Amino acid sequence: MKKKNSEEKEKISIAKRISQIALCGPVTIWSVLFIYVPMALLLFMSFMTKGPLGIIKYEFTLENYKAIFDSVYFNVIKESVLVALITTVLSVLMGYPFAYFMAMKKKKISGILMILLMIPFWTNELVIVYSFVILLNNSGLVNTFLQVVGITKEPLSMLYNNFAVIAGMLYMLLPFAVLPMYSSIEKLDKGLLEASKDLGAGPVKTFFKITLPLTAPGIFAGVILVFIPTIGYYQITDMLGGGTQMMIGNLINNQFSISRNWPFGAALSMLLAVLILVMLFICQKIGGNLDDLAA
Amino acid sequence: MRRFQKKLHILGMMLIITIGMLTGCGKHAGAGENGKEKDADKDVELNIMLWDQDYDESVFKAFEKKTGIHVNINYIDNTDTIISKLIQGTADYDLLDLESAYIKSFVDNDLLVELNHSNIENEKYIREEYYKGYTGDEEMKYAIPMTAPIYTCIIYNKETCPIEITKFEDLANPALKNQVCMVNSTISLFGMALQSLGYKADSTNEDEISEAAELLTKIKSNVKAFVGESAIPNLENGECSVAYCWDYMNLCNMSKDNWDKYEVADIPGGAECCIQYLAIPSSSKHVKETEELINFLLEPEQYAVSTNAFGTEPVLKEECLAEYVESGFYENPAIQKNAELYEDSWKIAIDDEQINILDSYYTKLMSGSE
Repeated sequence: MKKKNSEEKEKISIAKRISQIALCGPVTIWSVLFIYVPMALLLFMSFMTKGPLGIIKYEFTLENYKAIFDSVYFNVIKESVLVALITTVLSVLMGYPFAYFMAMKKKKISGILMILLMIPFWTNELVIVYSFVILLNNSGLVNTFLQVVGITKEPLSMLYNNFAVIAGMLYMLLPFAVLPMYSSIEKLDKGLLEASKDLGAGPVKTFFKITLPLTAPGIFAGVILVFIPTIGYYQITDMLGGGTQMMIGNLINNQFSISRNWPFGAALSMLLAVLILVMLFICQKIGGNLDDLAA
Repeated sequence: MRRFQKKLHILGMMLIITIGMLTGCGKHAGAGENGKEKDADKDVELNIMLWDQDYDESVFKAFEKKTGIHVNINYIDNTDTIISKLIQGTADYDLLDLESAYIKSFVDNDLLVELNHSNIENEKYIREEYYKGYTGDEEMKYAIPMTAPIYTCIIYNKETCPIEITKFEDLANPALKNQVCMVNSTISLFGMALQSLGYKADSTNEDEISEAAELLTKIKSNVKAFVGESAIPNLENGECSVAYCWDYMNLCNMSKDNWDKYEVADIPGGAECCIQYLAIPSSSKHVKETEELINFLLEPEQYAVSTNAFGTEPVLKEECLAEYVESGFYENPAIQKNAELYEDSWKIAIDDEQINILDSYYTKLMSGSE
């Protein structure tokens, strides 16, 4: 009887293992083939040497990593981090009140607001960027309207400047900031807010002492979700900023195309990956919870 | 037991999905890059790499109909794609639509095969002035011209440009603040700056390049936008009144109004000249059939199909082509202007040494770092 039971248990445990493999197998194989192997290749390539016509020479070198710290390239990296930080801060500052408003509304209204928020995801990114160009150029809809109603006499310069870049970035990335913050605020125990009020705290004090600390994981998740894509973005700066500012994404693209220096491009890509990992680490250390990214 | 069976079913389904995903990523032996079947024992298939809007696809269909040779077209948007694909060896190609500046590099690196000109008898229709090889292939052993030159030059709107442009340095004039649009090509920018300073466009002298970078930095303060492709939208929507770009022919093709509205600035240093050549990569296994295709593309009747579709200036003689192109085609002022620009134009052969030096100057210029 005992033997039969242990055989049965073994059977169940094998079946459990098989089902676990079945469920995780495809994703694992996919990740290994298309994420880990390419990353390993990129890492390997970053230590190789550029040959004629961009052909990779299999000679070990640290020059590619040294070159990153050349002031010309390092300034591009600094600039990219700065733009990513500005966009992230603005996304959080604009997104948090909206997420709070949404979370405090009835389900029906918050559902509608959620759909409105998700609209950018339904449209191709290039279409969105071109729409901005059509809207903001000198003979575009906005300038035409302003001149027709007599607000301006000359077209305002709204394209190919920082305003256009930030507007484009915010439009694309705001939902990434709002969604985790909304999830976090919605989960907030509203009884705590009432208790705070009953104990004499005003709305500002309640916000800074209760709401903000308890929804901080959502904010950190939003920060990560905005910062990561922003740092590698370059289409928006190219198309709305007029390409007058180089970002790390441009630099990597140039190395793989114009300069055909794949090893240096690979080293820059590895740096980008490290920057993102550092960002994740910092966020986790100062109170973020990576599980909130799933929100 | 039923639970176990259910799990086995799930496992089976997962295995099918995984196998499906992996086989979908693979490529059948001998398949062209676009995944089409290819059987070496049966009909010949040619894999060709073309720039979009250089050739009308109907010409290749006509070739297939005439010869039974199937043609797989892969479109590219820059020469780096050709290089990457050849270096990666992801597919065997039979024909390349190559920018003239890269011919020398391709020849030097043994990436092209010598053409058998006796198989390309229609080359007799090519205009004499263009029937010549480019730097690196002066004897035209490896590549054959297929389009007349396209020039990267200064185009200005005669109605809105506030100054007369007589030299490249004029683009730094404060009167043009935020009115200049430029291509973002390293070679076009530095080549023109070097030429205008009296140096060679392919200079590798760091002092000269540094001087060119200084000039470009001054000009950049007036630049509203750098573009990777066409500058036409920026000229047409009024954002810029001047552009250093390759769009004059296209502007003139777009509307007859543009014939009077835009002008090419006549400046010392000339304009960058780019010609599209056809060449056969050394990896090709169907050289003879590819030469047959090149010959077919040079038939005036077939050539005219692409000329009518895209309005690019033909490399073939007017007397051979005139009856096939749309009436009035040769009245386009860009054709006359191109003939004038040809004499004073500069040609460049991409050189690894120069590219390496230019990379940091270009990054510095575009990032605005000191």
